[in-house]
This record gives sequence, structure tokens and C-alpha cells, in this order.
Amino acid sequence: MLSPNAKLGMLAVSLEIAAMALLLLSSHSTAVLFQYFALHALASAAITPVAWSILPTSYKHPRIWVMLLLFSLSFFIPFIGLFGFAIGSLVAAWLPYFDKTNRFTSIVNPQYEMPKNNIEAGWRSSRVRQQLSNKNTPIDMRMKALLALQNMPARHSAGILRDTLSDGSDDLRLLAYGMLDSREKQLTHRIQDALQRYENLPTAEERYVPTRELAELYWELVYQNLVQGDMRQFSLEQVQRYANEALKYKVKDAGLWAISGRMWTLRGDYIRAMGGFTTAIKQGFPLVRAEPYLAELAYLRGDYATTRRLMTGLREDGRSRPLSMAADYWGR
Amino acid sequence: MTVLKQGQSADIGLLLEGTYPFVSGGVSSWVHQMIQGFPEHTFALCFIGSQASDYGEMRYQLPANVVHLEVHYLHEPNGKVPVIKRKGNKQVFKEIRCLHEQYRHADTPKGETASLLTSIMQHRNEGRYAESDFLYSRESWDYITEQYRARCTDPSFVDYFWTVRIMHSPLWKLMALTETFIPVKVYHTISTGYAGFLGALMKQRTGKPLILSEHGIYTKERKIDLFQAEWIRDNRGTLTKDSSEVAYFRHLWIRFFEALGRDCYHHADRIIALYEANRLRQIKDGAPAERTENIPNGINLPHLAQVRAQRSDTIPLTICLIGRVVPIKDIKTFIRAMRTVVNQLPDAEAWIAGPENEDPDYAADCRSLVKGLGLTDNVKFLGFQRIDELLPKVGLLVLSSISEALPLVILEGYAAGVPCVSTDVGSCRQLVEGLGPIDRSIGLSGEIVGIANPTELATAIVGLLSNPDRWRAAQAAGISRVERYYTQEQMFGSYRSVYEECLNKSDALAATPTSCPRGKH
Repeated sequence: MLSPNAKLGMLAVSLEIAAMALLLLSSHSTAVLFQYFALHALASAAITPVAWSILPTSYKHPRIWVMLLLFSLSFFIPFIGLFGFAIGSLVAAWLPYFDKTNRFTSIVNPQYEMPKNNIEAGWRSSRVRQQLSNKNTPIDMRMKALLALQNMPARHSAGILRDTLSDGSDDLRLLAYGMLDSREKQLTHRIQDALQRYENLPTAEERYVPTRELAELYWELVYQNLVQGDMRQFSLEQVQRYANEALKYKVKDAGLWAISGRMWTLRGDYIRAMGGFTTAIKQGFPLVRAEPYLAELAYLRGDYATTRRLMTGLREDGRSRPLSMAADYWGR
Repeated sequence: MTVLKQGQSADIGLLLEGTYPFVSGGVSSWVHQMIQGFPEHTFALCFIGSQASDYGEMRYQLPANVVHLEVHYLHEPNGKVPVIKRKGNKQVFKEIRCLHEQYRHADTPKGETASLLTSIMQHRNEGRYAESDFLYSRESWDYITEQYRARCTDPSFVDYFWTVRIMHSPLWKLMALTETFIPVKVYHTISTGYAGFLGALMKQRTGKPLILSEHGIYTKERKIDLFQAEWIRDNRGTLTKDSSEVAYFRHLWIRFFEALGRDCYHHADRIIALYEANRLRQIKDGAPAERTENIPNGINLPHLAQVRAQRSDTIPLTICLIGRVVPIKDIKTFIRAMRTVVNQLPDAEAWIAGPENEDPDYAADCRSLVKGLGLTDNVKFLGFQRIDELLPKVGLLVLSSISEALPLVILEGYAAGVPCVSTDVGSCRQLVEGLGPIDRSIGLSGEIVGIANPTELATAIVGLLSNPDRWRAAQAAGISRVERYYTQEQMFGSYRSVYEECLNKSDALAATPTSCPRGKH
């Protein structure tokens, strides 16, 4: 069964052929010319709705004007205009049939992939330390334990990593070295960067920021337990040098006074350390944070009464687990 | 590919990954020594690198018996394979599935993996499995998605898909390389990894014998790098992440290199390590024990004896580290140790003799460390130096490396009359303390210290330099140890028999035409 469009198209083509035949085969009288125009106009009228229906939707409106344009195209370009539409409409009608099979394929409903867990994971990371130090554990397991340390702060892992440097297994040694080295490298690169800025800035005011940064970074090397022996001593001296310089410019820097206090504590100069902490507190360093250091200092100086007083007075909410344990001990 | 010297054929095809003649260092010196040691054989060199920009000019003058040199960069982008929709061959992918299954089970009998690899190579050569099939075929897509669903513990499919693609891309280059390399009688690879895998493919294709000489253990070194590589993604969420589990892609890369290594071990006719610990490691990694052996490095003794003759009677307070300025040599530990040494021996001087261009950032770090520690007057960076000019002025050799195999510099130092302080890596303990009772009876030719331990290193240096009797005893032990166990003649002798056996085998193969698919030789 043909579609109405196809029927109309065929009617239009027949009318146009008849019109042409009339014009070419009959006499050359004016009446024949009028008859031709009548048939041609009918053919154009028949093809116009067909051509309109195959237009893309965006071109279809305003309907009357578009139809008039299509009619004019067909009417004023005899034969070619109409056959152009006819062929166009046939192609448009049949093309979807040719292409239909390849355009869509059915696919399986997509599924959400649940993250898979490796079933071989037989132990949790809390056992890292034991796993690593037990020489009877298979190397692969110890390797995993070592890798778990990658997520731990350097301050806690550096010691274990350094112990692993003398391990019997080459793989473990190399990995531990790489891990330590990359942590140290991150800090030393920042130190290089700060040093460069420090050297290139002319005034003390501009230099204050890199100077403070240098004191903090060298302190970080010590605090994170990444330097040992003479290197540690050297880093502490650098902390002193840059902290002093920065404090000369901005004497109210409470954080730097506290770092200074901790640096002197490690260097064994308890009087200067005390001075550092006292000034820090005066400049607004929170007492809650300073008290554990003051307690440590008192302990190192052999002033156990002060240690006890400070430790028992520590506020519970600011205490870490090891500090809590120490506070409990002193509180007994 | 770039052909720097075109030959027609050669006796021995050396497969070199990231080393001679573009990189200087222990392995490169060894290769140079070997080529010069066998003037009766011709050599064709196939250099494999990652990218052209990683390497500079040639570091060695090629000996006359090198008749061919070609250079390949595996990670250099080459012509894009045109995207053409294709189905892919079901049978081929079935075999690929089996091959992967076998790689997954390291204990698979060697023959099975080899036969599947041969078969897949054949599919490739005969057009049933082109690179575009791997990249664009339906079968390939189905296989990748199926494997992702079945195995990948990382949530990102996109990362999985591209990891698989990038991982396999050098393999296609290597397969293509087997077609163009000039005919040789024996293949000799200096490492496993890509070069070793190329050796395995060459062996598959031509049937010619393959020799593997491993200095370090490639797979192990790769593994350590990969454990720390920052370019590998880990997309696990906070809740699904178990920090004791290695990220999936990291693991995938490690297994990839392990598989390449195993393929090389399985195909090699002779597997040579420098010392026993490495040989055992090779066996653990899949090398058939019966094909493994040790051939230690050896040095040119008469030449270095002349160098020794130039020494003065006094012990120079010069401590020298000969090696490239790269992290694996841990130059920083040496510099840190020097801080302590100079505190105790203010006249001591440290020389760091080695090229600095391989890792300029690290070299800059080392220099600023020297500056930072106030050692600019005591620590000198000399760049690359001729050993015969350097050694007569040196009082002690130091090796602070975190990984070594059997370092030639220690042996050269011994022969030139310089004792050594070294970290406990590779065969260094064996070189300093001796292996077995007879070797041990020679005495200590220096001292062994832990790695990355500046304090211990400094104590050992000061201990030797400030005690002339101990120093002289160590010097004598070094000389007698190197003369007895580590001469060039011994090494060449062992390799001569290896080469002869393989060349004979190759000639026998050439006599039977069916054994060589390409009809070479």
C-alpha cells in the first residue's frame, strides 16, 4: 500500500508528463499553452504538500509561505523543479528502509560495577610493625607491610623505615630507602626553593616570609625524624639561624618562638628553651599546646614536681593517645 | 628506528636496553670490555631506549668489530595506526586468553608459554593479528572489558583500558623489530625486561641461541621503581582502600615485567649471573636452574698494575667515589658522612668522579648539600675521569650505593692498590670480606657498612685512613683477591666457552634448513 505522499507524487509526475507531452506534441496555439499552464499548475500543486512534508521540521513554518515558495519553485522551474522534488521525496521515503538495520543494535542493560576487593588480603595494616619485624614472614607479606607505611606520617614511619635499611632482603632495603628518600626529597626541594627566594630578596621585610619558611622546613626535617647524627645537628643549627633572623624582624611571631623552644630543648639548652616557650605563650601561643612541651622540659631538667603538676593539669580534649597514657601515669 | 651503522650480518647480536653505547656506567664499560675482548667475533648492536630525548651522544668509540648499530625508542610516538572497524579473529584471541592465563600462573611449564607465543607471533606475521586488531577490534574490546569485570579491583575502566593499551604498545614495536634486525648467529641480551623479551622473540623467530647476562636483577629494580612511581593511578575510594594492598595498576605493571623476565629466562640457552645471590634470585624468578651459572666480572690486571706503580708511599687523605651522580649511588650519604670525616680529619678531601648529566636535579641537590654542610673546600665534583689518572692519588674508594651487582670500580681500585669501604649491597661483602674459606683467609680488603648510614660510613673511613697498618693490610688483601679471582682473562675464558658453544649450536641449526623459518644463514 502506497503512502498518500507517494500517491500525490505519482499524480504530480503524471500531470507534469501530460503537460509536457501536450506542449511538445500538439499545435502551437495559445489555447494549448493555457492548457499546459493549467496542467503544470495542478502538478505543482500536487507536489507541493509532498515536498513540504519531507522538509526538516525547522523549515516547515510559516506553513503558507513555505508552501507558496515550494509551489513557486516547482511552477517557475518547469519540469526540473518538479522532478527534483519527486526524486527527493522518493529518496527521503525509502532511505530509512535502506539504513534501518545498521542504525541501532540492542545492548544489554548497563550494570553498576561494584568495586572488587582482593580476597587475598589476609591481614590489616594495624599489624604492619609486627609483620615487618618478623624475619620469618614471607618477603611478599613484609613488602606489603612496608608499603602500608606509605600512608603513615613520616614522623611515625621513619624509624621503622630506617631499621629496614639494614634488613637482610635487598627488596625491602631498596623500597625502604626509596620511601625515606622521597619524603626527604620533598622537604629538601622546598628548602631549595625557599633558599633561592631568600637569597634573591633585598630587604629584611621581603625576606621575612622565606626566612620563616626555612626555619619551619629545617624543623620539619628534624621533627619528621628524617635526619640523623651530624645532619640533625646541622638542621637544628639552621632552625636557630633562620628563626632568629625572622624573629628579629617580627618579634611577635608566637609559632616561631615555640619552634625555637623545641629546637633548644633538642639541643639540650633548657634555659633558652624555657625562654622560647615563655615568650611564645606571652605572644599568644595556646597554653594547651605549650604545656606538654613545658612538662617535657621540666622532666629533662629533673624538676619532677612541675612535670607532675603540668601533666595532671593537661586538658583531656587536647591529648593524643600516647600523651593521655603519659598523663595517666603522672596522675596516679 | 635509526641505523647508525649498517652491517649485513654478524656473529653476535647484542641486545642493549638503556645502556651501551649511550650511557656510561658499570654495565656499559663491561659491554665495551667484552666487545674489545673478542676481536675474532663481529657484533651487531641493537639499542633500545624509552625516548630519544633521554639520551645524548654516544659515550664510547665503537670498536672495529662492531659492524652494525641500530637504535629504537619504545615510547616515542610513531605513525598512528588508522582506525578501521574490525571484528578480530576469535581463534587468535582464544590463544591470547590462554597465554595470559599462563602468565598469571607463574608455575606453568615453560614449553606451553613458548608455544603460544610462537603461535601468536605467527598469527601476527601472517596478518591474522595486526596491531589494529589489538587496538580496534570487537574481540579485543570484548576481551578487555571481560578482564576488567573479572579481575580489576580499581574502579576506573578508563584507566584500565589505557593502561592495557600503553603497556602493550612497546611489544608491537619489538615484534616489528624482529623482522628488520640483521641476521646474527647468536643473540646476547644484557638484561631481561624489553631487551630480554626481544631476545625471546628473536629466538622464537630464528631459532638461534640466546644468552642472557644479567648484572643487576632487572625485574627487581623495576619493581622497586614501580612501587613508588607517582604516575600510576589508584582510584580506590577511602572506604574500599586497604593501604596494605598494592594498587591494582601498580600490580599489573609489576606482573607485566615479571612476565617479560620469565619469557626471557625460558628462552635463554645460557643464563649468566655475576654472583651466587643473583643466580639464586634468577631461579626464584623463574630461570631454569640447570641453565644458570656465575661468571664474575674481571679486570685488566697488567694495565692496573702499572697504575699501582705510580702510587707514592704515603697514604693520601683522598676519599673517592667513582660513579654516576644518580640517586641509586646515594651520593648524599657519602657527602653527609664527609661532614663527620672532616670534623675528625680536617685535611681529608672527597672526590666524586662521575658524570652528572643523567639526573641533573639530583646532582644539583648534591651540590647544594655540599654547600649547606659547609664542605665546599673538602668535597669536589670532578665529572667523568680516567681511572688510571685518578686512582694513584686516591687513598680510599667509597661506594655508598643502595644497589649494586659486582662493581667493577672496587676491583679496579684493588688492582690499583686502593682499599674500599662499601655498603652491604650486591656482591660487595663478597668482594671485601671474601667468599668461602680460602677467599676469606686473604683478609679484609676494606670495610662493609649499612646502607644510608652516614655515621657508620664515616667511622669506617676514618678508621681505615687513620690507621696505616690496617690500611696496608687491606691494600694487600685487595691486590691478592683481585689477582686470584677477578681477572679479565678468567672472565673472557668463561665467555669464550659460552660463545663457542652457542655459535656451534647456531651453525648446526643453519645446516638443517627447516629449523630457521626465515632461511637466515
